[in-house]
Amino acid sequence: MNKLIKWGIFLAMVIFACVWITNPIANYGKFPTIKLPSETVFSIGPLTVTNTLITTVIADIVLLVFVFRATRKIRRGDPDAEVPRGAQSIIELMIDALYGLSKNVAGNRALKIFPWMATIFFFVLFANWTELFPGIESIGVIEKAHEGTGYAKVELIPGFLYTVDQSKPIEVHASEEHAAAGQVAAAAEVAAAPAEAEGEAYHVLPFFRTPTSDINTTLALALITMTMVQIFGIQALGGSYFYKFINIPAAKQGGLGYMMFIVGFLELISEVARILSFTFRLLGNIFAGGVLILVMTYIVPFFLPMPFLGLELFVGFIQALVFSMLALVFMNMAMSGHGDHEEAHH
Amino acid sequence: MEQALIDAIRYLGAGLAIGLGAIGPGIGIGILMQGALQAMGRNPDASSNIQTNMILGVAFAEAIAIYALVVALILMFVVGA
Repeated sequence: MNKLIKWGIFLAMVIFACVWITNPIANYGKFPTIKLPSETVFSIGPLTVTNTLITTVIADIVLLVFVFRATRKIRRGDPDAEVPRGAQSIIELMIDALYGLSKNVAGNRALKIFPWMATIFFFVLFANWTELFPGIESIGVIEKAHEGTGYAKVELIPGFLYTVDQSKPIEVHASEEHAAAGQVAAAAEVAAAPAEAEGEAYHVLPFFRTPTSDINTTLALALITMTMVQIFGIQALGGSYFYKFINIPAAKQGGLGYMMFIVGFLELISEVARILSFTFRLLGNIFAGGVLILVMTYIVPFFLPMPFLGLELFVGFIQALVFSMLALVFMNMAMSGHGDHEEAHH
Repeated sequence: MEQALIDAIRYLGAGLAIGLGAIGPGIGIGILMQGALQAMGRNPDASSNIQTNMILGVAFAEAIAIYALVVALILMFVVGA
């Protein structure tokens, strides 16, 4: 009898899996539309709120709540905090590892750099991991497609819950639908034009999207990091920091000094290249990860995406580590003076 | 017809961009890992130090592949899509 129930459950799962698998196979080759720029969900005056901004704020709140709850005992001066437990031990482990890393790289400059690199690490980590939640890039308002590919609308709960039939793509050209404004999933559209319902194209405007898959987030992080690199450099070395770029003392020496003078300009170019490299490394990795999970889910929505979710968990962590580690190394490089420059200056 | 041809060239360009762009970084990361693993095998005590530098190096090499990926993504999803 027990065996019969087990087989019954197994059979039900197989049938369920078959239904889920055969559906996309029948629609094979019809992949979802993937958008590189983030989309505006709503706007307050001149400030447009994109879906990545909403998710950024949520990731920030989750991070703050997590850290404040984990360190509650320490701030209260509770004697229990001596032996960390649960979330507190996780936070202490991570902070300890990051501080050890920054001490390794920067030595006695670690105290100054560590807050920046740890903040970047935790923010990027939480931002990257929002990618793994269901509902990201899939739950949102349904609106008319203005251009590109739209899909036929399907009513799940009339007047309230809709989805799009991705097996019926409809091409829309920009000029036709230009006047139509985006609408919250309301029944007004259906009532207004029932005759044209066949040819109307819709697409979903998601509420949430991974912050780091938007170029604005990664570019902002890169700009902040490289600006702080310059500020730390000036703080540590004063005016002689700029001799790294325009190496006048070396040029005065003549001979090989002219070569050093030209190398200074290359340094200037590489400083700009670092901004681009920071931006596109994080963007590329996380955006590609999102596309990978999406495409895998479309091929087989059952079991197949699971290892890729694990991979993305790893990639998100590694990219956060790489971003913060590079920030650490660049800040350290800016703060450590070149010995001969100092001598030439005095 | 013309649009289909443009699309075909676009997809071809995207494929070539990431395909050719991944060759160099692939070789680079391979050489890097070989060096790091040999170093770790010879001096296991220095593993943690080597590992951090290795991840940094891999990140630099990987960045080149990511540039190619970004070009491919732009060709696929931004230009004329």
